[in-house]
Amino acid sequence: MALLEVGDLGIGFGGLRAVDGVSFAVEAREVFAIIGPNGAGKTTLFNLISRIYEPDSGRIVFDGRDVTRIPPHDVVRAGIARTFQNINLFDNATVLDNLMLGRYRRGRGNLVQQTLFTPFVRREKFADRRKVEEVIDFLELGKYRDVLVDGLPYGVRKIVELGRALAAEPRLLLLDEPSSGLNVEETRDMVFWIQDLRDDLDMTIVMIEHDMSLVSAVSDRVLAMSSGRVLALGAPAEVQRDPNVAAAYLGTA
Amino acid sequence: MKFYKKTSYAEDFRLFRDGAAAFWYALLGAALLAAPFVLPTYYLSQLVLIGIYVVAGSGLMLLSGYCGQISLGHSAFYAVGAFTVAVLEKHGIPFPLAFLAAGILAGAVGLVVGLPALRLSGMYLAIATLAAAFIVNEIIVRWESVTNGASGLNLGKISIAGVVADSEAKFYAIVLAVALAAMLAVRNIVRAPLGLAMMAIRDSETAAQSMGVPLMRVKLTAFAMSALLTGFAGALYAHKIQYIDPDQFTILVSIEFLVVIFIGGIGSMHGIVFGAVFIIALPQLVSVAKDLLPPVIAQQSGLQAAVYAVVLLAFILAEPTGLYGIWRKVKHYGAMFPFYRKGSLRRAKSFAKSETW
Amino acid sequence: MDPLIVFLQAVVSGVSIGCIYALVALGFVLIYKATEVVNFAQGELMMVGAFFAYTLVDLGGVPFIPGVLLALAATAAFGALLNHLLLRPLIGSPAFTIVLATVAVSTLLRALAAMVPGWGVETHRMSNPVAGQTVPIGKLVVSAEHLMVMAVTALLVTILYLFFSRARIGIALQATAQNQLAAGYAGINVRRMFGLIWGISAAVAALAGVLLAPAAFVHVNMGYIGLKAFPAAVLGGFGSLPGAVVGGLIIGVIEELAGLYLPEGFKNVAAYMVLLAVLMVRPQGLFGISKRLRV
Repeated sequence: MALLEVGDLGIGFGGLRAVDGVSFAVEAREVFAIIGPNGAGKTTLFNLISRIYEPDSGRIVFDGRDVTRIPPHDVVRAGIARTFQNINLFDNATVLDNLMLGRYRRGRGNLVQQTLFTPFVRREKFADRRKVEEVIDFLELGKYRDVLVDGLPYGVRKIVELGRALAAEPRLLLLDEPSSGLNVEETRDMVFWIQDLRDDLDMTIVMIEHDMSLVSAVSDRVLAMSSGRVLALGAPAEVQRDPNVAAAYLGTA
Repeated sequence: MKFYKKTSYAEDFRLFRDGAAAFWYALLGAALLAAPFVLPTYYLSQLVLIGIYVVAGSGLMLLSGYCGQISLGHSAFYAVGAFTVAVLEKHGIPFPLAFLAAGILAGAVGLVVGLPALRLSGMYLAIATLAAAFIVNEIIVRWESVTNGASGLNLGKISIAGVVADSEAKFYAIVLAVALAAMLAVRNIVRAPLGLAMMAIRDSETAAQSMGVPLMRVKLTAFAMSALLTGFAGALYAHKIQYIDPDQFTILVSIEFLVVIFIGGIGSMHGIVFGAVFIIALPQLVSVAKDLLPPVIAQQSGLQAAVYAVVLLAFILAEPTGLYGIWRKVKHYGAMFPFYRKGSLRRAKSFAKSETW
Repeated sequence: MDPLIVFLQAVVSGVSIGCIYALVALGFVLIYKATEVVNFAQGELMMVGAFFAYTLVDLGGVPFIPGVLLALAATAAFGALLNHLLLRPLIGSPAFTIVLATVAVSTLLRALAAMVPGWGVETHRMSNPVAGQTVPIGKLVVSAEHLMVMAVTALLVTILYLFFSRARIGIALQATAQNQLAAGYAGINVRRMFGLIWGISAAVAALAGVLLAPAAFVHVNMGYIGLKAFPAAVLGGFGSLPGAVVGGLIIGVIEELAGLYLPEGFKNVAAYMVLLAVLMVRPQGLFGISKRLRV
């Protein structure tokens, strides 16, 4: 059974169908890329899955559970974490604190326990810290640990956002343009990280991407969208050769 | 130059950064404990006022400084705390119970106000809290059977288990204990996951939510806690002044609380104390300065308010990080001497258009 | 007296005070739309404008209409100066800081106004060409002051409407309000627009003060009435100019009716209760648009 199933999902904004009858399924441990020209509805799709938007129609089923209408803060609890196209970090906090917030869904201590900072709360903080250090090692963020996110270069901030999503130990990772703003080296690192996440950590990854080399290098399957609808779905090479996809990107001659 | 090398995870959230800091705070603690034996009553009573503002300030710092929710209506919770303790004691309830009730009732009012108000943000929230404060004030004025309306209520001295706090020193001891407890409570919340969630909400609600933070629940918790603490402060205030009426709890009081946390330094624990000291010290400085100014200015009744406003604007324009920000810069200068570079603690200004308000 | 007459009298009073609220709310919303600043000192601008008019007309002996017009101009300049000195340096600051800044300004203006010789903390009566006269309309007896308020408000709203929809500068202001960056690229001097908006907003507030003076007298705490403009602006929908006007009128009428029919005290808080109700049920107000989160 597929890990994520999207069925006939749709949403409109004032007469414009941003996402229109989109259906696809993502298998576990798959790297699934979503491509399409700007305005195709890719980020809107992510926003529907992470429950920022309310769909007009359709269903989202994750791990057998209908998550179409769950409250937004339950999404990560269900096992889905995401990054944002325009980076949404906590600017007034350090990299470490940003990552630690990724552990919030683990939930520990009620209000009284936290106000008294009981040993239980202390132990949980240590456990979180150890996990976050693993993420820091994996993404090589060590030297930025105590730096305020505010002043960091764009590429590093993107990686911090990835780290924050990883700290939540999700089963499904939604990456919105993970390589935008990264240089060639950083993009290559991203390829390795994505592969490691899939192979070593059993993670499933759905990513919106414009960088076709990244898509070809690492994706198992590709979904092409345009104007809110699905154009093609299949292996990277197939989809890139699909005439409809070419037409959507380049316009018909 | 001083470098902080951390050797254990615990050092990230210890109460005191290192042995040296703990030493200085212990010294401060000793001074505070010695105060009643050393200081004349007048200065002791100023410390009492500072303590009361520390309690209220810690509440507002948690809500506005750490969680980023603006409240222009905290005078309402101050009033609820004050009137609760006055009314209950009038009916014979002993102080410890009345005090607890004051905080709890203020917290409950905070929940009632927060439920609708916190669905909004930024400007709308500020306006909603302002409106709530007006309404609470009016309720206190009209509910004469309980609150005596505009005529106000008198209070006696605090009496705990038969011991009456009949001297400023004894009252000071109570206020000191409450102030320390309030600060410790806030500090604990801030270093616990809940505090991190609050700061996340301040910086980006969308991101916080995507990481599992239930926005409404956390904001309400911050709001209720801050109302609770402000209620406690109100209860202490009532006993300090010994006569309360609705006119003492206007928007100006809410503004005073905001001044405390802003001038103190938003988002810092030190800021609470710095701000409280500032707000009590300023009128004193104004009085002293009055003697130096030409009479035509000095005689004006509005002088104090004008000075407040000017100082606040000066901080807003020149030093928005507040007194704590200045303190940090001074320490940084000393630590880096002679390699200090101007602007090393300056943060980049962001020009992103605000999210929907 | 015939209860219907009583009701209608209250409505007329309500519309009259509502016009004042509408004017103050209009000033608010103008500044908010253009600069995203909510000016908590709007009421104090109204107070300053009223004092300017009082000084010119009653203390200075200037005839009423020229005096008022001069006062409007002076207040407009004052508003622009305020923007230049205090708000421009704060562009880019977090919301909290800007709120606190305008709150500080309101406190400062109140305190400074009390210090001006001739102003002080007493209440002043401003001379008024239509004082005391009444106009019978059917069975109603409407005070000429009320009618003047309504007429002037209607005139001003019309002028503003024409200005924003027809005049080049008005359209430029609208552009600035919608997207500062784009307006700048289109050749609009955004900084000057800000000054202009503050000037217009201050002048509108001053007019409200002049219209209010007969009923409420001129004194340094006049600005508190301006706080009622918040509910008006929210009810109308914070980004909507016509909404501010409609909101103000509705709040004014609700207040008067509350004073008439509800127990004591409700009149004072009626506006705020409406505010909270609107925020709970329809935060975007009557004419506002609920904006979608863009991530």
